[in-house]
Amino acid sequence: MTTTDDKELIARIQAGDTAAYRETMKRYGTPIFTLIRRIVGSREDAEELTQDVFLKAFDRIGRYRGESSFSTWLYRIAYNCAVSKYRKRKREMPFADETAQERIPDTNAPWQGEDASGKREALLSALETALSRLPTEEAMIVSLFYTARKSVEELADITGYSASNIKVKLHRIRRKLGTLIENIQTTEL
Amino acid sequence: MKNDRLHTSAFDTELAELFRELPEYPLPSGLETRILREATLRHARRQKQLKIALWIALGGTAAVLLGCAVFFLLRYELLPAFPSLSSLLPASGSESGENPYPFWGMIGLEALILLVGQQYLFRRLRKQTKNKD
Repeated sequence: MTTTDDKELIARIQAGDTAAYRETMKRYGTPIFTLIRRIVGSREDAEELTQDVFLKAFDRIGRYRGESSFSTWLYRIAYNCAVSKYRKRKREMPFADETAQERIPDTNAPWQGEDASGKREALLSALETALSRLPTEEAMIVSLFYTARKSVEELADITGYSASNIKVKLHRIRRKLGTLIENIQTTEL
Repeated sequence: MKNDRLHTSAFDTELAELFRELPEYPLPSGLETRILREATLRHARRQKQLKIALWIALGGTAAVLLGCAVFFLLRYELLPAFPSLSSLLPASGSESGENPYPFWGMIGLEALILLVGQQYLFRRLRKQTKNKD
């Protein structure tokens, strides 16, 4: 639910206090920008999309009823903006063999067993590349789950899917992400 | 940790750790300024539009009230008091004699009175403004 600080902030924005905009940006600017930047890849596109998200949020703040937390409401706007903007964008999906995803064991990370300390940075870079290669909707769901620490129910609220659907999607996206990371690392080696 | 989080396998845990370690991208200060400026501008524009809508609603209500007042004044005060004025109107056509004045004729007369009144007000206001200058 919305914290007391958030409630006060929202009340100030709804009352027309434009100084509260700055505080909202301070509180949520970096998390939203980070989320979008990881998914979109390009800095310019991420800046444009972040601007769209915040302007939409400030325009629609009067409609916020406090049924979900403020961050969930804000992430819903970010999700809708990103998905509608990049719906038609075809991402490069290096799955020549679709069944390759299924061969990834669910219990172990594909990169486990390697010298973790030496490969950590490469792994992080591979994850970032993999994220930017996922379809926008999938990248958003998995990032909201791991980065924004949103629960399955909150993700259902953000995306409009059912909770069980989100669980299935997360399972598939994780497998896809694992395959992508493995492929990226293999290509780099 | 919430029960519904799917942290059930080593793969999942490793992925969660990796996500935590991903670098954060701070919001560029230029972008923050741009968003704040645009949001403030939009807020001001919305306020202005709201004010205009309010004035239109008020003006509309005042015009309707004024129209009704003039109509009743004409019907029950002016026309009975000045028969020469009623001779300007065409015949009513009402056989019962309840309504001696034709409705559309009265509306026309009212419009004429309002138009003359409006012109008179505008001229007075213009004259006042000129005198002030």
